[in-house]
Amino acid sequence: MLYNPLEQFTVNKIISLYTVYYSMSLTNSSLYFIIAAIISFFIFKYSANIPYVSLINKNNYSILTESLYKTILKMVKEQIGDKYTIYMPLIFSLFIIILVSNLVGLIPYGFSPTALFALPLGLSVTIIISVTVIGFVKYHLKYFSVLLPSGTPLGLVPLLLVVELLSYIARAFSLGIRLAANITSGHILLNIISGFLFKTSGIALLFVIIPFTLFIALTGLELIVAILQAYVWSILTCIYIKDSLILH
Amino acid sequence: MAFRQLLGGSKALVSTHSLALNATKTFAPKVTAQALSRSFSTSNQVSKSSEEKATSIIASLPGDSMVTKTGYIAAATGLTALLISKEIYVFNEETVILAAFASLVTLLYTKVREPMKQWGNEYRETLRDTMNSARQQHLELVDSKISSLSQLSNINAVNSDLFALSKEIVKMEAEIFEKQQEIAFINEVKAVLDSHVRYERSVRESEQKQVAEKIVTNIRGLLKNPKFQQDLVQECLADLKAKRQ
Repeated sequence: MLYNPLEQFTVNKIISLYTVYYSMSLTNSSLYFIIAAIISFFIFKYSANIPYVSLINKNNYSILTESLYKTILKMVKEQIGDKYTIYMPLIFSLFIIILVSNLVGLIPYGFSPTALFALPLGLSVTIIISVTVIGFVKYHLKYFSVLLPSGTPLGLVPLLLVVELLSYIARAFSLGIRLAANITSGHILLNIISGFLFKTSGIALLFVIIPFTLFIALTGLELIVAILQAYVWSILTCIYIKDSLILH
Repeated sequence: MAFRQLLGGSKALVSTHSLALNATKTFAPKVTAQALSRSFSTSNQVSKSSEEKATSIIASLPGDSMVTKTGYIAAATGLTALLISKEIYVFNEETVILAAFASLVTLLYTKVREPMKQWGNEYRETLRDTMNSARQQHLELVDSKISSLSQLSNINAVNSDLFALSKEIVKMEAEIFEKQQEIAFINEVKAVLDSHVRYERSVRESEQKQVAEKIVTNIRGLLKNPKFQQDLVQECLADLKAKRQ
């Protein structure tokens, strides 16, 4: 039987729970997402509640979490502008939950919920719908001007409308697919190479040392990708929010 | 059963280790003599560093004595063998990922720990400096406020003086006003009296003028009277005669 590297993404039911219309079973994906949510919560809960942390005598852990918060705050401020405070909790929560979900998958025997397309796509579609609602609430029917760049010749209007509408809808999918594809490809790559290494180690352990070093580097690369993708997700969400707040 | 085997294995290892220790003790003087004879060669340094390395590896193992350390190693090896043989732990490609992940984490921990600690210290230092400078500035501000307020320590005396002065000024102003009113009244009275004087003078002048005119008219009337003219001439002649005599 041939080994399939996509087997690692199989969703298994841990606790089966069916309602009339929906299956609300606890799967490995949902379990790891819950774990990621709990970790995300306790990362900052612990950082804020360390008893010996004062304003000056912070420990390295709280400095790290604070700098993480500052980085996201700066990014949100630069992207959204004046009304950044309203959207900061949303963007920061998204960043942390996606980051931890990505990192949970990197731990051996772990599972990354963001590697499945359902979760990132669901999140991205929700974000785009919410952003559209924000735009319509703010500008009413004027929000349709987002589909037409200023100074478009009249002849090109129908064509550009279609193109811009497609690009607007494509945002919802590209945001989710980008994250899921990156995480999935990384996991597949690691899985395939680890399989090769495992097979080769049986033949000659000596020949495995250099590939194993490269494999460690690849694991490091995946770590960077996991952080980068969470950041990219946050920055793109900021850009979409800004587009709905400020019409061009 | 497996546990007994494990214990048996560890006992065997401990006995082997004690033998090795005895052997070391027996050959120790020889090794020392050899080491002394090579005290000026570089190979001694190499052997010393490798010995240090070995000691550090042994020291990094859990346990206080060599027996417990050996026991831990034996137990760990036995446990691993048991887990693999019973297929509780399956040795597959995930193990490679585990090893790579553990290596990466160890690498990051060793390489990033010091810069991270340094960065944390720098950040804390910056924070402390900022807070200290803010505290210093606040202190200076409070000091300047205190010094500025200390200048007003005799404010009560100054205030009472100022109050007395203002009272005096008000009193003087009232007096000035009174005097001004008096002067105004006097001026008015003087003006009225002056006007009365001027009127009286004009009335007197007009009366004198009328009297003089009346006299002149009367005299002219008398002069026109022949009898008076004759009497006057007689009188004048009498006067002239009297002067001639």
